[in-house]
Parts: sequence; C-alpha cells; structure tokens
Amino acid sequence: MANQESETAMSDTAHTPGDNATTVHRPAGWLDERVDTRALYRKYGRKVFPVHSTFFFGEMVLFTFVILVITGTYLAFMYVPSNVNVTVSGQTVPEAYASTRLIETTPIASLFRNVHHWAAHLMIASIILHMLRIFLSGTYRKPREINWIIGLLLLILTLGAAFYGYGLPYDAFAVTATGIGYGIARSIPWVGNIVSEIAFGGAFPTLGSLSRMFTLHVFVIPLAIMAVAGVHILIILKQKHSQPGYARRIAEPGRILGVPFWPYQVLMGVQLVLIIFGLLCLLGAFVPPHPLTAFGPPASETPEVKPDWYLIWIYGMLRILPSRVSFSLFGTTFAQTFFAGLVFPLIFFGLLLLVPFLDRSNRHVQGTYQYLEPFRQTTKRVAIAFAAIAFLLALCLAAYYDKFGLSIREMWGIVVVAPVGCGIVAYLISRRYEPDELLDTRSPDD
Amino acid sequence: MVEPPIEREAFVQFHMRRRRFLKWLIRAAFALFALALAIPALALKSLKIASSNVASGDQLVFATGNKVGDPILLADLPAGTAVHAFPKGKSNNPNALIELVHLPAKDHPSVVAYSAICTHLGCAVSDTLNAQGNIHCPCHGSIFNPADHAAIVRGPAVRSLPGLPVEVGSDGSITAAGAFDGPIGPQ
Repeated sequence: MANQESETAMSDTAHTPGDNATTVHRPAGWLDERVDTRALYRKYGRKVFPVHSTFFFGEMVLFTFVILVITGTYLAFMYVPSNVNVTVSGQTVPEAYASTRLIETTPIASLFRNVHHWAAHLMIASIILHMLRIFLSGTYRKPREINWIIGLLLLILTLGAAFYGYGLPYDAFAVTATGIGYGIARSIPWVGNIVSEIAFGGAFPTLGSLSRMFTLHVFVIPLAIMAVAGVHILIILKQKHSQPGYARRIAEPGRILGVPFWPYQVLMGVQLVLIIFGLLCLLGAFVPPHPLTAFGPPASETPEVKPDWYLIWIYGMLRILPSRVSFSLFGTTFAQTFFAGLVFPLIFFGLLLLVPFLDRSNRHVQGTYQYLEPFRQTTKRVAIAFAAIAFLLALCLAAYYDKFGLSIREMWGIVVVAPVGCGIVAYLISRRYEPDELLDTRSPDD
Repeated sequence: MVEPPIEREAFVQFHMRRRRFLKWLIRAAFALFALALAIPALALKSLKIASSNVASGDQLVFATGNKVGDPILLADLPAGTAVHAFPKGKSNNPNALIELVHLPAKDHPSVVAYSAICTHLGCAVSDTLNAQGNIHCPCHGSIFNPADHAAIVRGPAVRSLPGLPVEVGSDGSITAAGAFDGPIGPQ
C-alpha cells in the first residue's frame, strides 16, 4: 500500500456524478440483475478514506468490538448466569463460577475467554487513543461537536460493559469488585436504593444479581453500543472525514484526499483485523488473565482487589478523598463514596463533553474546521492533554499511596502539583517548537 | 364565489384550536408512554431473600479456616489477634460477618466484636490486625481502632463499625449479648 500516487482517489461520493464513465465498466452479473450491487458500489464503495496512521484508532475500536461480540457469543454458550451453589467434583461453588471453570479448562473456550478479556482492554485503549487524537488535532470543532459527544457516550457505555464483565466469573475478586460498584450506586442520594437494585438485580449479591448483570453485559449495553456507534458512523459518512494538513495543499477545495473504501480501505481493514486478532490470540495464549482459582469462589473474606487500569483513577479518588466531604441534607446522606465514585468521574466526563464549547477557537466560526491541526502548532491543547494525563496517572498512583509510604496529604500534593507542572512544562516546550507560519485548518472554500 | 370574510376567520380559528389541541394530545401521549415505561423499570428492582441477623444468645463460630462452623473458644484467640466469626447457623447471611478481636491484655474488656462489613463500601475488613493492632479494610484502606469502639483512625470510611456486645462463657465459648448497635455496611 506504499504507492500513494496510484491509489489516491481525488473524489468523494458526494462529488461523483451518479453513473460516471470512469467508475464502472463491469457488465451486470447475476447478483446485479437482482440487487444492483453496482449502485451500492457507486454510493458507498467510492467513499474516500484519508491515509494517516492515527486514523486507524477508530477502526480498531470497531474491530475489537466485533471480536468481543464473536468471542462473547461463544462464551455465552457455556456460561450459566446463576449464583446458586452446585457441587462439582466435590466442591460446592456458585454455578457461574463452576461454568467459568469449565470454560477455563476447555482449551478453545479458554483461549476465547482470554481473547475476550484482552480485546476489552484493547477496545478501551483504542477509544482513549482515538479521543486523544481527535482532541490534539482539534477536530472536535465545528462541524463535529455532535460526534465528539457521541464518542464520549460510547466510551462510557464501554466502561459500563467492562465493569459488568468483571462480575460474571463470580470468583471472590469479581464479587468484591461488583460489591464496590453496588456500594457506589447505593450512595446516590435519595434514589440510591432503587438505582442499585435495578442495576444489580436486588441487594447484591442476591439470587437475581447475575441474570441482571449478564443481560446488561450481553444484550443491553452491546445493543446500545451498536446503535450509538451506527449514528457515529452515519455522521462521519455525512460530514466526511477530517483530513491531514497536507491535503489542504494537494487536494482541490471540498474534495477528500485518500483511498477509496473498495478495495483499498477494505484491504487495510482486513489486515488490521488479522493483526489485532493474531495479537490478541498471542496475548491470550501467553498472558492469561488471573485464573479463577487465584481468588477462589466467593467467601466471607475480601481479597485485596484493585480495578483494571481504566477504572483505577476512580479507585484512587475513592481512597484519598477525605471522609469530611460527606454531609447530610434533607434526610439523605451525600457520602464520600458518592462524591469520589460518581460525582468526580461525572465532572471529569462533563468537562470532556464541554471541550468543543470551551474551545475559544470554536466560537463564532466562519466556515468549518476540516483539517487536522498540526501537533506543533497546538501548544495549549498539548499542555492540557499532558496535564490531564498527569492528573489521571497521579490518581493511579493514589491507588497505591500507602504502598509507597506516602501520606494522604503528600498524595494530594502530587495530585495537584503533577498536572499543573506537567502542563506548564509541556506548554513551554511546545512553545519553543511552534512554527512561525500557522496552518489554517478551516475549509478553504467557505 | 367569494366566501364571507367572517366565516373564513372562524375557519382559521377552528384550525388553530385543533392544532393546539393535537399538539397537547401528542405531548400527553408521550408523557403517558414515559410513565408507562417507568413502571416496568421500577418493577425490575428487587428480589429479597430472607436472612437472619445476629441475636442475643447466638454462639459465635469460625467463618473461615479449617475449623469453619466450630465454636470459637477464647483459647483459640491469642491476645492481640482477630478472627472472622458468624453467629452459629447464620453463615448464609454475608452481612452477619463479625470481626472478633481479643485486645492486648492491658485493655478492658478483653474481647470485643464488631460488624466485619466495612462502612465505606461493604468489603469485609481483614481478620488480621495491622502492626498497630488496628482493624483495616483491604479495599480502600480505612482503619478502625478496636480498643475504642472501632473509631475511625483513617478514612475514607465515615462511620465506625457497628459494635456487637459479646459475653465469654465459663467454658471459654463466646456468645452475642445483643444485636449490632448500628446499620451494617455502607448507608
């Protein structure tokens, strides 16, 4: 795919006249006479995809999601969402635990379980990278504000699916982690009891818990992801891709520089799927997630559990937020758990949601932003991104603060100083390398 | 034929009223539909299982280890250590888990019991006391002082662990002398 020249299609679906002489000469085949696949090709096959390595993050999200659906479906054939005790080879354990043990000890199912586990990690990592690229290149601005918000919703849905996925194996680890989620949901003032009982099928852990969590993990959230991701992609089709800055110099105004969907983008997509699946199989085979027997079936003991990396920043806040933030008002309690476990992440996601509206360059815009802002000319965004990453990393450190011999006060010092320091340093460094002439990232024809 | 203007006016008025009425009707239909959806959503909430709580006279038995279900005797519990206990016959209720602590000799009373369910987020506190002889929770690091009514030494927990009055019998067995003096777990 190295030869850019021959594969650069200087056109876009919207600019291609219906039946252009240069497009298809293929005679109508058996299928065309019935469903006219050539019309499909004319409408979507010539959709142009800009070529840029960071443009693959979004596709990676889609592909890992497909892998999750396929491996998850296979696992659902064997998994039993029940916490009723059964006796299997002399040991009395919950049925979900027993069925997960069966998955774990069946070779291909065990590989699929491990691939499912790592695909979830990769999906969330890809969403974060995709978001970071959109943020740094400023392409959340007009006209793409709606898709930024939809993307954020997809991140939250995916985190929800991942959280429910934790609980299903029903070992001591899973029950403890889910119990903490239940406690956080219960801490919502006034409606906490109803919300937590709906989200966990009663007072967790109870008889209905696993069928509730299973249904949410397997049907409700994935269907919501499919629907919302569908809207996300439809909006991309309507708005067309943003483009790397060089396209502004090469392509005519209003045209997209890149490769057509069929066959080149499809070929690259297939390569990407194969690479991802291969990588996940290797990871699944050689770096399995913790075996069920590591924590054993649920017991009265609570193992020391920490959430995975993508939730550990909330866990860090749960540990270091002082208890004096809690207060009672109108007969309800605003607990520390409510502030650390729900209000804090909601504020963080709320700020992300407001990014397109807080960005001053996105107010009263003449025309639309259609080109990626080059990394070197966006000093403020680089500074903000580094500050945000430092903040999240500091909170990850807070999850382990006593292991490092730090006091809560010192930990708070790091949580406050690290983002500010990193932001300032990143700003000063990127200012040094700022080019003299800035690229106008708006579309030249409006 | 030209219509009389007054009738035309009435005709328009009628249409405007009809349009307003239909708009309200659509809104009301949406509201009713949302309400109708809320009812099955609320019905999803609960499946309650009856479970028995600790009561006066319940003998405390081991909750873990190779003596699960056996009565705990004072001799099993050296001073300065703790153990997880259940009221006998009530181990199916995870919220009845008890942290039984034998305080170091200088303290009085020497055996105290608390709910083992952390008031922060409902984890079971560790049955191993920390280096200072305090109860600690493995989940988010809360620390409680067993010699002082499980008072909070370090957050994030807001409430101390509910206490359970216990009596040591002449044979060394330990029984509950009442119920927990507060609600169990996070509230």
